Amino acid sequence: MTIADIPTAPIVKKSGRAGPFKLLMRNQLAGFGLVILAIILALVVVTPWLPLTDPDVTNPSQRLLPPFTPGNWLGTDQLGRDMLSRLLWGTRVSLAVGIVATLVAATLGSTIGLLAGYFGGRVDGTLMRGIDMLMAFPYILLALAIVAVLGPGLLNALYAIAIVNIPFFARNVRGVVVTLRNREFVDAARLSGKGDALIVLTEVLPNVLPVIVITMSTTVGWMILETAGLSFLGLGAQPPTADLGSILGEGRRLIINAPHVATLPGLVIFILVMSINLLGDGVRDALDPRLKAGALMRPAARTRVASAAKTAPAQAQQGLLDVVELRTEFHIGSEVHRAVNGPSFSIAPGECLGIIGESGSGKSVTAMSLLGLVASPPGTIMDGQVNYRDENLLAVDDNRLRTLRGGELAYIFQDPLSTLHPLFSIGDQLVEALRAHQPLSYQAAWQKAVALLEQVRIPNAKARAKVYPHQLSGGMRQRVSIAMALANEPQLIIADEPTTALDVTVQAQVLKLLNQLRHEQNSSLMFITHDFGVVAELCDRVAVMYAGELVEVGPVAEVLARPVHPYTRRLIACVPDVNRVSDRLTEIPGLPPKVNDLPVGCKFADRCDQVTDACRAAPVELETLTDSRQARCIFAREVL
Amino acid sequence: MTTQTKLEVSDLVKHFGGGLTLLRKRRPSVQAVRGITLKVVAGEILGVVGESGCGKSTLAKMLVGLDQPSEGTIQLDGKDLVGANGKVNLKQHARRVQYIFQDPISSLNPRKTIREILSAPLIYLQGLSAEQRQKRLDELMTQVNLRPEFLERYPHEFSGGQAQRIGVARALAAEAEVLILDEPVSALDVSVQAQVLNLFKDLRESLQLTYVFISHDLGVVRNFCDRVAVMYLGRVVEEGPVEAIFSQPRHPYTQRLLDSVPGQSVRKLPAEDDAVELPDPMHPPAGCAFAARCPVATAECRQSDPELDALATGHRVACYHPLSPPDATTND
Repeated sequence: MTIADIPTAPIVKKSGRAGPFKLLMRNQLAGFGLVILAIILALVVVTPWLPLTDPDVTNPSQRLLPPFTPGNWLGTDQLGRDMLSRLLWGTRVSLAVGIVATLVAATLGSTIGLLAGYFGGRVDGTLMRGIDMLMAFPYILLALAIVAVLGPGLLNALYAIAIVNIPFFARNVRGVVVTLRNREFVDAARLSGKGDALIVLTEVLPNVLPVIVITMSTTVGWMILETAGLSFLGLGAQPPTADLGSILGEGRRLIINAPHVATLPGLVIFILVMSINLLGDGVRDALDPRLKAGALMRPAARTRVASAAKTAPAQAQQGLLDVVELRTEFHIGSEVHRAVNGPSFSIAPGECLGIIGESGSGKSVTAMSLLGLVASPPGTIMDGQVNYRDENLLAVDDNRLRTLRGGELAYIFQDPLSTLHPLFSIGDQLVEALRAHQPLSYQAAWQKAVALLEQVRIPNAKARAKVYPHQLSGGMRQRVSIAMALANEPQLIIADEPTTALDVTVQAQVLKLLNQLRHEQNSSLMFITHDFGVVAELCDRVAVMYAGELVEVGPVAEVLARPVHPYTRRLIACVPDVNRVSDRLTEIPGLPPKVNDLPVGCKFADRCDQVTDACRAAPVELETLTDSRQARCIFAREVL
Repeated sequence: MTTQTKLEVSDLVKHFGGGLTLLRKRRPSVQAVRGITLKVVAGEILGVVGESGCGKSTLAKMLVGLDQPSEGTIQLDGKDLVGANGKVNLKQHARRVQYIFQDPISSLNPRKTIREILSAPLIYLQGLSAEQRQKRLDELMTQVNLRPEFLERYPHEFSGGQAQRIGVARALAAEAEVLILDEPVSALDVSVQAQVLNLFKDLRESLQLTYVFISHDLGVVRNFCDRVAVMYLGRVVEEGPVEAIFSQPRHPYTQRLLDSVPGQSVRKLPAEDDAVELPDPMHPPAGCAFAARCPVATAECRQSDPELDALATGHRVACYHPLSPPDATTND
């Protein structure tokens, strides 16, 4: 092997996904908060240089002037001090205390969380029980107690607020660290010779930082409010120093005679805390990986279909289901990912069509597009038809689609643990599936559910109907998914890698069951897999997918015996044979093309050993070679 | 090839959980590994096959020192892994035995560049200077067929196959003699899987490495390993040269595994009864763990667990009624 056959990885382009700042700015409320906060910050930063009177200079002759008095635009307080000046200086103090308290709480809390989460066991128990005790006191009582011990004063109030907020950081950070600790890269670091201290600081901490930042952004506002509360009670800032809370506290007694003395600081606190919280929420949404994945976007009930695909005149129905030139794209940021690039195929009644391809080939997206199950946004079906019994499924209304889904057209997914609801018994879930499509009483549906479980050979079905998914083994769970798919006598079952997560002996059982059921029910099966063995076991015809296109279609035995497309040929050769030993495994050099940067010509050209200039020049069509076989290669006829 | 024993495992047991709760109740315990005795010869590839939950990953973790055995010993070149203080000296052990993870991406810290990841073993295990490190890093990247400029990238910029090569480079950086490969290609597509497996074979030749290859893919095992140990519920049920295991399996479970490979044209055992379930590792059965699923099980099998006995040279099987070799059946 030489450097020459290094897989040529294209230089990775910057992802089209928006960066954190862009995401933040997309949230208008957060942007609004940021602007207000920026104005406040700018004002308090330049306060010392503004032409203001000293906030602490009293002037009894000018006391309690109302706002809009020339020279004292916001009026004066009971000692004749200028309110504008006092508010600006007070905001400075409040902000500084809030931010410093947050930093102190973040440092201490995160350290506790890191240690407790990483070391676990006794360390975790001791530290977290301490945190629990902190949390058991009402926060204001605790703060009061701390100030009572330390004595009133701004610095002591800061300590009190910081201590009260340690649990938030400790608990959040610990939660994340516990999952990180068991990640493989921590084991890998240990095997690289790193000790615990180094692992915590250099491996774990960088991955926890976003969580710390999120927690900080959401607690700063809260801390400012708490500081104001303590100062309001006279336990925080001591005269003559004033923060917003103490100004408010002093003004409280004059609320009837001079309402501005109390309302103005209240208003500033409100604006300050609101802007920080709006910004904090935005920061959380932008940084939180769970929300980043688009959870906030809430996908629509069905995939968006471009109008071109809705209005296309239907072609004459050939099989039970005809897919014509289906195109599904993902629009992420400025990029277009062309996941499905116009495959056309048809499934006859009672037939089993295998769709085979590697990860990223578009096989699952094709299957999900049929019934509009691709998440939108970002997915859109741009073009094509999905004709089922003279009906274009892309154009039917939502009600019709709902009737078909799980009714005549049923899905089985790869991971039954994530498709079955953990909180309902499997019997109840089957009952729900039945009653969504058939007018059955609960009793009748339950009877039928038990019958279905018997049909998928679950032993002791009557008792098993009452158990929950986690009480079943992987193979049994997949049988339940199959039972659910069969519940409403489907015409077509779309199975997306249903046996990939199963062990080989269990897979053999499930495949046998699927094959029996398919013949008993005479339903069609569209079986998506990456395993040629499974296709050989179960399917009548196979369609090979590569980069969103079908590259070869034909009867399974023929394709396996005499593959026409170079990709099929080499893919079959790659599979290590359990019945034969070859000294060196065949490999396909390189990687599949990126779906956001597809070549014009043959998509396999870069990895093909018989590529010519003609292959790259223009798109290669899927050519019909014989009655049953098609391939997308300019040399196909020569090979067959 | 020498026949010097590199790794030797004797009566290895690992259970998780157990002990007593605060209220003095027994905590449930799972027996992940229930008494394994194995030898790995220098320079060979020992395949360990079995289904999920059979304890093969636990075994791997113990071999590399990330987990400690509850009972039994692991010896590397005749020296016990667990030191006098009852602990594994991981830093010392990691210089000799390294681990390749199943999920290549998640075994790389997402916030570190490849340079930082690969430098760690060079600094903490090898103690190289900055200059030596640079030279070694370039060498490592060449060894695993990656371009040196990839050093400055982050893990998410790599495909699964490339990420696995980085995992291999990290193991090589420690200059280990034994690599424990824990399902190193099961997360990869077939076309990429072959690239990585061939890389392993080349490295074994050029660096005289010894591999323990954990896998559930029988096709890969047959084409990659020299010897195979088949595990079922925490025990080795059959062990021998790869050819013997695949062409003349003696344990019914091995035969069941081979029969279950999809697309097989010839199947020797009758199809398995519907819905037989794996035994519960919390309460392992008294006799042979496979008895409930076994077509030839007798009352004896359900009462006592057969020992792993030698049949022919190097072929061992733990079964009271081993399947007859194919020639014997044809003679009958």
